[in-house]
Amino acid sequence: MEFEFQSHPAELARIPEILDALGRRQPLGPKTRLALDTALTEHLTNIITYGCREGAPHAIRVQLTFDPPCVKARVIDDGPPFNPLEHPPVDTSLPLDQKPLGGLGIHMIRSSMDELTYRRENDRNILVMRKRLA
Amino acid sequence: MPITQVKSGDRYELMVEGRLDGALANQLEVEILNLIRENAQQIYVNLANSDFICSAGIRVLLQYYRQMKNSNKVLLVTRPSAAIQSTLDMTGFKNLIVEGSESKT
Repeated sequence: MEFEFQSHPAELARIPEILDALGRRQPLGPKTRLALDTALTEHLTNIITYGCREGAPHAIRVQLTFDPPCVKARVIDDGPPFNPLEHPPVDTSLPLDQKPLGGLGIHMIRSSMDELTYRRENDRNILVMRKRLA
Repeated sequence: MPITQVKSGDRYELMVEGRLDGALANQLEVEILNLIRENAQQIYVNLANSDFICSAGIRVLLQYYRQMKNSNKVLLVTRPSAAIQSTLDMTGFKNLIVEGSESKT
């Protein structure tokens, strides 16, 4: 299944409905759905917030497939090069008073997905996220 | 109204409904700031009827947890739904939840 998102925050409200559509193909289970919801919301938020080129229309493609034993989400955008996997991991053992306020989105993507791969191809960022079906 | 307020003495509870996404996180921040201006001593963010929290929501909770704590006051999450509990556990923020009000996941 493939969906196109425009680079506007209001588009993020579509994520639950696309997960509903995916779930109609094959049941996801609540934990898998929540993990996908989290990862897609955070990654698209980062693209929309940081990846827009001034003055240019900006489309983001999301491809969702079942790839047993996983569900796979591939997100393709034409923003500036950005590999979220290069962001240093957050130390989750830190007490609340010391946890950093930045980098939470990438941290949530890492925490919710079982596998992440990134590549830059034809001026596009491609992030592939896999989650094992529960 | 996605956020409603219940007051009991100087204890306030903010009941959040639905998805705690970026837009609602901004609203939550406004509500919290209003309560801080009113000198609230305890603010509890009730997430029993919220089924999703994004990083912006966690950031608001963490930022004002710290600010309140620095003034010897309290801001914590109470009665998280199973989904909220799962996300806060997974991301290492379960200590934002009032002890004893955790959801069983």
